[in-house]
Amino acid sequence: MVDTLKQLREAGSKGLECILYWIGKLSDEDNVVLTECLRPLQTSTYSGFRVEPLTLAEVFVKLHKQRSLLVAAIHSHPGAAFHSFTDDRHPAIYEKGLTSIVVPNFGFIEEVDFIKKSAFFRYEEFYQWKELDEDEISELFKFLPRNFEEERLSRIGRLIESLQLSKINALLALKSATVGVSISEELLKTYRGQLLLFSLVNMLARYSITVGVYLQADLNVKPEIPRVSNKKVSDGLEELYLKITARNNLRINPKRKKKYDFFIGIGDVEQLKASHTIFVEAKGWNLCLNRGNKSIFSGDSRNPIGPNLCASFASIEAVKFILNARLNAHIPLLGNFSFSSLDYSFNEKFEEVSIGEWLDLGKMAIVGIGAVNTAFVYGLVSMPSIEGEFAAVDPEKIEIPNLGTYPLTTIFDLGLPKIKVAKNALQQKIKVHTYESKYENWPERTSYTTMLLGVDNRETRLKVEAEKPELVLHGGLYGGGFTISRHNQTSPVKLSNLYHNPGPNFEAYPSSPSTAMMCGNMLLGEAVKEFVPSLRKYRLSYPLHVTNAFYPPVEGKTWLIIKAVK
Amino acid sequence: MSEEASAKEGEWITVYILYGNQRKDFKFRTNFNLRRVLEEAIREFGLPAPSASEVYQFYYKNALLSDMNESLEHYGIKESEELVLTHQHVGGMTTA
Repeated sequence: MVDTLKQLREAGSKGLECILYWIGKLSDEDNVVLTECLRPLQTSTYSGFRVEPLTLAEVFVKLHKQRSLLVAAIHSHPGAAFHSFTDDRHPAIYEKGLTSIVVPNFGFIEEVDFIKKSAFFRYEEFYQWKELDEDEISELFKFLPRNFEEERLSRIGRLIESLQLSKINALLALKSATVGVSISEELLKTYRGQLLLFSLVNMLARYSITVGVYLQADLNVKPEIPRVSNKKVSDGLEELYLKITARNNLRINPKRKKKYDFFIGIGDVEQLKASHTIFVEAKGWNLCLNRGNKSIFSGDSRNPIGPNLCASFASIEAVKFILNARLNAHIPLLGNFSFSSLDYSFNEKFEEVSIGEWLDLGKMAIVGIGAVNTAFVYGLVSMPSIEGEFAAVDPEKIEIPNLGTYPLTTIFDLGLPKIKVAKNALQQKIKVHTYESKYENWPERTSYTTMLLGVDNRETRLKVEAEKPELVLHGGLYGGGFTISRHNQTSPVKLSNLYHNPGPNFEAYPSSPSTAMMCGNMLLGEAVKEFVPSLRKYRLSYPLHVTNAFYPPVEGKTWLIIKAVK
Repeated sequence: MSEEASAKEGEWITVYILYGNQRKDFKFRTNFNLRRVLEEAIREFGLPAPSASEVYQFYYKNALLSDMNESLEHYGIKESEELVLTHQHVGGMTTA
């Protein structure tokens, strides 16, 4: 909108009307994200404008090439906003649903008055236009605030400040960085490969990093990939990136001449020009980084935990490298790295234990739908066959900063209750009861035997502890690290004493999408271990503290420290 | 149908027409003139009929097909090629 008013005013300052086209991309079946405000070649006067047929033809060709849509035509009037006879009779396109917006006073109005003072019309058919009222306009267009991106990156910004780096410079570095991602056709055919790719793009988008994705083939998206409605992988990746950032900064198979800041290869792919390269792969509970571009694992797995964790590790490596290169940050990078979320080991045994074909998670309450539990739900909906009866409990609504760190959320969730977002994701598979309230006001809090606790405050943890639930699986983020723990009625470790070094910054808000994704998916792993008898021997006995480069290392300079605290 | 008749009527070809946000495929004989092509396009895209104030134009490879009485064959339009259908966009408090 800022750009729109700027261009209208520029023409208006010369005493001319101006016509602009809002162009967008279809992000799913129902929603378009506006990506461009185009000012076509035009002849304009004080009281009119004209776009020649050739110019319009060029716009149509551009739309088709970019797979974009002309959503609205916006023009200024010198005085009042209304649809003139000419506006009615000669629109940009005669297409049902096209919006025509007339802005008064050559665009010299306050930004906040844009909806109130402009006139909005929707084309019906054969010169018929319907003028929209404010409610209809609000239903049709969701305007993001001018500081949307700054807000979205605010949690990451706080994390960067805790590393004693310049927040402004670091966020600029991330926004101007490019990461290339390539996946082999063989792995794209697998569920584990596709999920790793989509989760990786999900994470990189949340840091606002520009991404180029190289696909050896364009296959159909597997149905369990979260938050994607398009059928083809290329469209699905564009959709996901747009829905997270409202920007069109992901390219499929761009020219290879470009040198990337960072390149991530998935499977057996050609290495692209980049300042730094890693190869990654995951299967089941396991993942590895920097083991070369030959596939380590064979076959497929429907366990989403390894791929989601791998996407988290890979995105963190990209961010660390960018901060090191652009801000001289000296954050250690991972070398040859193998990890199993089954037993939290770093060896290369890669033990494979199936999660089974059908997983019954019983009656479970998800308390606190924040970064941890949206990542938990993201992992859960990526599972092939689950059943259970869930309760989702949280009093809050999705706000812009949540988009920076919650792996499940998109711009279309803004303003929705968090419980609704969880329910929307889960309800295709399991029954979900929602409670838009604080834990202590939730009347059925004692009737759920298993609780997934992902709250951001000690006060609620104390209240949960006082109720003595049968089993609590807890995940908590602090700075760039996190804790997961399992508590039953005989557990020696208390929820209230979880953080070994509580402090103002230690037990605060989530600060990176990658650590949220790790925490939520490790928590999911613990839930799976609880409900699959053959996996029970792998359950956590003590809380697991994970710290990483996003927070000053607790011990030495090792980037990742996972320690069981007795 | 004799070979002579078939040649006279022209081959059936698929032509894509791009208009606004839509691209549709049509089957035409190569000897169809653009006026006939336009009639079908207007029907399919649901556009108002041509008039003195609403003049439609076809562009092919960025060039205007200026004579609506000429055939697809005349303009060298072949199987699976694309035409862009367009018109003026005029508006404002009065007009430019």
